[in-house]
Amino acid sequence: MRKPLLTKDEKKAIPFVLPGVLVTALLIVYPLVYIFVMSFSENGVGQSGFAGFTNYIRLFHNPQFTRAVSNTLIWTGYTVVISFFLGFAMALLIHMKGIRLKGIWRSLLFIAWIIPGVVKATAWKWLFTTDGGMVNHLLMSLKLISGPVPWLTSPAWAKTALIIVQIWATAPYVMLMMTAGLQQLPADLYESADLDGANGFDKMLHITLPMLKDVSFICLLMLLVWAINEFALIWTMTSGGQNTTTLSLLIYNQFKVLNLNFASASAVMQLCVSMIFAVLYTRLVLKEEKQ
Amino acid sequence: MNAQMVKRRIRLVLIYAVLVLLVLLTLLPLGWIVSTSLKPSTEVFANPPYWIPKQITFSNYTNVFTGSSIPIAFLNSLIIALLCSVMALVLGSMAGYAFARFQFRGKGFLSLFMLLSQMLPLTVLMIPLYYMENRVGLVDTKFGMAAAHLVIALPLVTWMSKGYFKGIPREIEEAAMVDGCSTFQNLMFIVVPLLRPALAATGIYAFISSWNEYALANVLTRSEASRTVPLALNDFSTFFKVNWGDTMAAAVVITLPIIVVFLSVQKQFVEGLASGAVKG
Repeated sequence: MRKPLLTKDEKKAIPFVLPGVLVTALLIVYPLVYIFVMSFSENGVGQSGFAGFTNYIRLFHNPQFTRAVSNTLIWTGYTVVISFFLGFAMALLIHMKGIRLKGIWRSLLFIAWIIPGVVKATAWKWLFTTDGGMVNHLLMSLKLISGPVPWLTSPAWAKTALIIVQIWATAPYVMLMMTAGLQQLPADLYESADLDGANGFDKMLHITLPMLKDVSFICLLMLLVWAINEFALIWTMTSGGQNTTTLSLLIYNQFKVLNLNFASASAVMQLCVSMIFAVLYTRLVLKEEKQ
Repeated sequence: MNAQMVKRRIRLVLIYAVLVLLVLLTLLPLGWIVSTSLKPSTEVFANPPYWIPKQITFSNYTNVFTGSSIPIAFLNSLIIALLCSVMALVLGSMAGYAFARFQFRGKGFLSLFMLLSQMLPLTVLMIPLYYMENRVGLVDTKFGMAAAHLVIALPLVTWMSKGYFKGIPREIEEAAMVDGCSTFQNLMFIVVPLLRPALAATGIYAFISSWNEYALANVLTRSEASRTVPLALNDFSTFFKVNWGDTMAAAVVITLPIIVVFLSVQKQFVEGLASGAVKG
């Protein structure tokens, strides 16, 4: 007997899946192919011939691109590492024995997360004003700085300011994920460790950290992808001035001046980098889902 | 024994102190938004700045509601986010249902793709989406903006609803099948009503993503026909000067709806985050 073209399940599934798949193909797959083709064309899509890797070679010789890459690396490195440890520390504090109202603390610390990105960025731009800004005023009254710091108007400080805001915005996510992870740890493991005379450090190193391995990686990968892709925050606060242009901003700027070869080749580079971490993330999430 | 109790008490007090400090650091920027929004312009620019307005005024809010593009942008955002979340809910929950219930070729790849799409850099999609929408005249229209936001909302709803559908026992549907329900009737009349709160939360999640989105809106909207609130927040600044009082009042106006809807679905939202549904 011949195998039917479609199984019974497939016949049922098609009407449900097809509309969503078509829309996804149109809005996500086609644009990705489009930008890919564009990055290998001589002058935008459809207008002229195949350019091979010319656009990419030019890209790597362009100081704007290399500067954007190095800015992205610095920004990503600092925000991911600090945000992770700060968020984890917050989760550990809330989880401590004897702390009451854990849910309230968690919600209070999580609020920053939900605010629209542009509102966060605009509020911080106002807080970081050099003369009469609240941050400078607070730091000066605490005698931590002697005069106003030009947070957003000097290359020396602008990156620091942006990194602080990104940490403020993303650490709550880590806190939330880690508190969820900590709650799932089996209490009896700690009880038997206590019987064996383990101290707090031992328990941390041999029970807590290994058990939180997966959720930690999920957080780290998420932070990485967000940092690489961030646009609104940097665009609102510095517009890429003071040497804060990351890949996202470079792509946007080059698109605005219709330098499409440059923009599309940079975009493909950004896509490749963020998708490496995204694929690792997906594998972890799918593994968690199976368990 | 007593000394140990004292030590424990001190440790607890220290932890609470650190927690309070962290909460202050989280909330002070938000407090500063509200404080500035309630100050008359003479007080906004006072140097050194202070937290409590000497004279509370609502004139910044009056400016925002009567003399700015915020009300129109608010309406635009509302329509766009609603349109986007309804489209995403219909298309996404159908796909999510099939992912949860049926075996078909390409299923593994497709669900992987849905998860991955949530992490696509929008700056990569923005250029092709602009040219595509430009060709069919959808740039600077509400529908065009809502459709572009499906890029975020559709994978998100598909992925989240797939998880919810998996949690519904098959037996319920099989019983309905025996009674002569089609698969579609099953979904509409048996499964969806059971999952109403979860699906509502998913829709709200999609709504929030669209409401907050900035990069695509920056490229795909031009005029008051479609401009959304995150962009309109910029209206109070010129190259030389920013009217911070009005800006902060506008910030409150566009954030409040989000906080209200978020509080209504906080629980499902948190579970969604943990299950891998993310906002890019």
